Amino acid sequence: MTLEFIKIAVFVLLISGMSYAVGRLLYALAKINVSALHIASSPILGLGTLATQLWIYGLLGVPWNRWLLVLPWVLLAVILRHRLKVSPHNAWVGLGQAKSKFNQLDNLSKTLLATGSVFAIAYFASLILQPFATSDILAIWGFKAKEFFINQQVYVTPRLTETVNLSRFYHIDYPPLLPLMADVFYVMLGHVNESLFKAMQVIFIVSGGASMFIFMRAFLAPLHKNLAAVFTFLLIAVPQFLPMLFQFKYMGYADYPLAILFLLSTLFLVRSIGKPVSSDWCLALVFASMAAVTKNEGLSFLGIVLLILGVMFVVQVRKANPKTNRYSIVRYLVVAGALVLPTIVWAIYKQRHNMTVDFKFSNLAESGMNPIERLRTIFYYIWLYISTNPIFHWELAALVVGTVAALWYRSKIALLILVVVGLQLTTYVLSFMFSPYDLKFHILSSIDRLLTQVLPITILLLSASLLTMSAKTKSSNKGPARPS
Amino acid sequence: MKIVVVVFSVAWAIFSLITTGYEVLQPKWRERLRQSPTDVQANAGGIYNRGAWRLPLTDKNSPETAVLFVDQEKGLLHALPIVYRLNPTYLVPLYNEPLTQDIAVSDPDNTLRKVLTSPDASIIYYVGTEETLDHSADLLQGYQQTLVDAENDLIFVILERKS
Repeated sequence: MTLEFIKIAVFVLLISGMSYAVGRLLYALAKINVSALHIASSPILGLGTLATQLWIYGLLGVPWNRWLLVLPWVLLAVILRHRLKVSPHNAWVGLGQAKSKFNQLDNLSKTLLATGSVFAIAYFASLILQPFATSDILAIWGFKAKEFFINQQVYVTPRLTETVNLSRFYHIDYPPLLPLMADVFYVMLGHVNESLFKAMQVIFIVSGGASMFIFMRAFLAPLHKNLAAVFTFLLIAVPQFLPMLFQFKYMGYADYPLAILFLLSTLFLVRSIGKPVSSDWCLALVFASMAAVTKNEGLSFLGIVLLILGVMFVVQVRKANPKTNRYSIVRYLVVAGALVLPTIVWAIYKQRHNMTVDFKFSNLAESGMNPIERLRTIFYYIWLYISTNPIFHWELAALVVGTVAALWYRSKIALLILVVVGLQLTTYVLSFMFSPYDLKFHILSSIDRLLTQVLPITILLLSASLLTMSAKTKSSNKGPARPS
Repeated sequence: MKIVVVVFSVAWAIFSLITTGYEVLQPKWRERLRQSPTDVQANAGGIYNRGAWRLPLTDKNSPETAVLFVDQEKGLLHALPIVYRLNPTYLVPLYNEPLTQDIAVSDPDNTLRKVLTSPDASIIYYVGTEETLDHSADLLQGYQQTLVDAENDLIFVILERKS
C-alpha cells in the first residue's frame, strides 16, 4: 500500500466527513428530530447539497473554490451551534451507545457485518486503484465532471451538442449531479484527480448499507433481529455490484449511486405511511429528486414518489380539519415544488440547449412492429439475458418471492414497496417500447444495469413480508410501529 | 410464506458470500495495492500523469470496436473525436478518407488499423478482443503494448507508439 493510496483514501474520508457535517447542518436547519436513519443518510444528503451548491454558483457566476464552497456551512454552523449539540462529550456518548448496540448483536449478525465491512473496504480500495478506463466514465460521467470543472459551471462545450452523433455518444442530456459530486472533490483538492471520481462512491456504499441496517433492525425487531444483518449483507455483497464497485466494467457509472438513492427515498417513503406531511415525506422527495438529476431513470422514480406522496396527502387532507386544508395544501405544493426544482432547472437547460429526447411515441410506429409484437420481443430479450446470467436468477426469484409475499400479506408497507418496484420496472419496459435503438442492442447493453438499479429496493421488497409481521407484532404490543 | 422468504434470503446471502468472496480473494487486484494510484492511472493513460488529455472513441454497439484514442498534442477542449460513429467531417483532416459508422460497427479490424495508422495516434487505449488485436500484429510492431486488465474475453491494452 503506497503513501499516495493512503492520501487519496484519507482525502475521500475527509470529504465524506464534510458531506456528513453538511447533511447534519441541513437537518438542524430544518429542525428535524434526527434519528439513526437520518445520521446514516447524512453523507449522501450533504454531498448532493454541496454538488447543488456548485451548480447554483455556476448559474450565478460565483467562482468555484474551496473557501467559497465551505464558508456558507461554517457560518451556518456558527448560527446553529445551539441546535447542533456538538461536543466531545456528546460524541463520546454517541460512540458508547453505538458500541453498546453493536455488542448486543448476535454472533451471526456480527459475522455478517464484519464480512460485509471487509467487502466494502475491498470495494473502496479497488475504486481508488482501478484505472479510469471504460467508455461511459471517460466519455460521459468523468468527461462532464472535467468540463464542468474547467468551465466552473454546468456547461458542456457546444461542439458536442451540435452534432447528433456526438451528442448521443457523450449523452449530454444525462443529468449533472454525479459529475457535480465529483467536482466537489476536485474543488476541495484544487485540481482533477480521476481516482476521486470513482472512490467517492464509497459514500454510497457506507451510507446505503448503514441506512439499510438501521432501518431493518428497527423495523424487524424484536422478531428477526439477525435477519437485518442478512438483508444488509445482501445489499453489500450481491455480485451484481461487482462490475460497478470492484471491477472496471461499470466502475464510476451512475447506476450504483442511483440504486442507493432509490433505496433511501423508499425507506423514507415507507416511514411516511400514515403521516404524509412530515420530514419523512420531504426526505423521500429529496432523495428521489437527487435521483432525477443523477440519471434519466431517476425521473420516472421521482414521478412515482410524487404520485404516491400525492395520494397519501389527498387521503390525509380528506380526513383532516377543513380549516387546515388550505394552508396544508399550499405548504405541500410549495415544499414539493422547491424540492423538485433541480429537475425543472435541468429540464429548462436541456430545452435551451436543444437536447432532444430520443424516446418518442413515434419510434414505436417507425419500428414497424405492433405493440404486442414489440412487447413480446422486449420480454424475449430480457428473458434471454436473465436466463443466461445466473446472478440475475436470484434477483428474478427475489422479485417473484417478494411479490407473492406482498400480495399474500397485503400490508401497506409491502404493497407500497411493490408499487414502487413494479412501476419503476414498467417504465423501463416502456422506454424499450419507445426506444429509437435496435431492441436487441438496447436491451442487452442496458438490462443488467437497469435491474441492478432496482436491486436494493428489490431486497427491501423481499424483506417486506417480515417487516409486516414484525410491525404488526410491535403494533399489538407497543402501539404503532415506527423505525428509528 | 415467512419460511420461504427467510430460506431464500439466507440462500441468496450464502451465494453472494461465495461469489463475491471469491472475487475479493483474488490476488490480481491486491497486487495493484503495491502500485501507487498514479502509476496505475499512468499505465492506463492518466491525463495528468502523461500530460495528455484523453479522448474516448468507442463504438458502444460492439466491444470489439471499442478503441480509445489519445491525442497528446491537442487539449481536451480542442481535440475532436475521430473514430466514434463517425462523423466524416471530423475524419477528413485526420484521415485521407472518411471512416463511416458502418465500417466502425461492422469491421473492428479495419477500425483499429485506421487508428493505428493515424499520425496522431501516439497512445491508444484498446478495449476489445485479443483476436482483433492479433489481426493488426504487423502494425503493432511500432507500438509498445501494456496489458492493464483482462476480464472474460475482453482485454484492456495500452498501445504506445515507439519513439
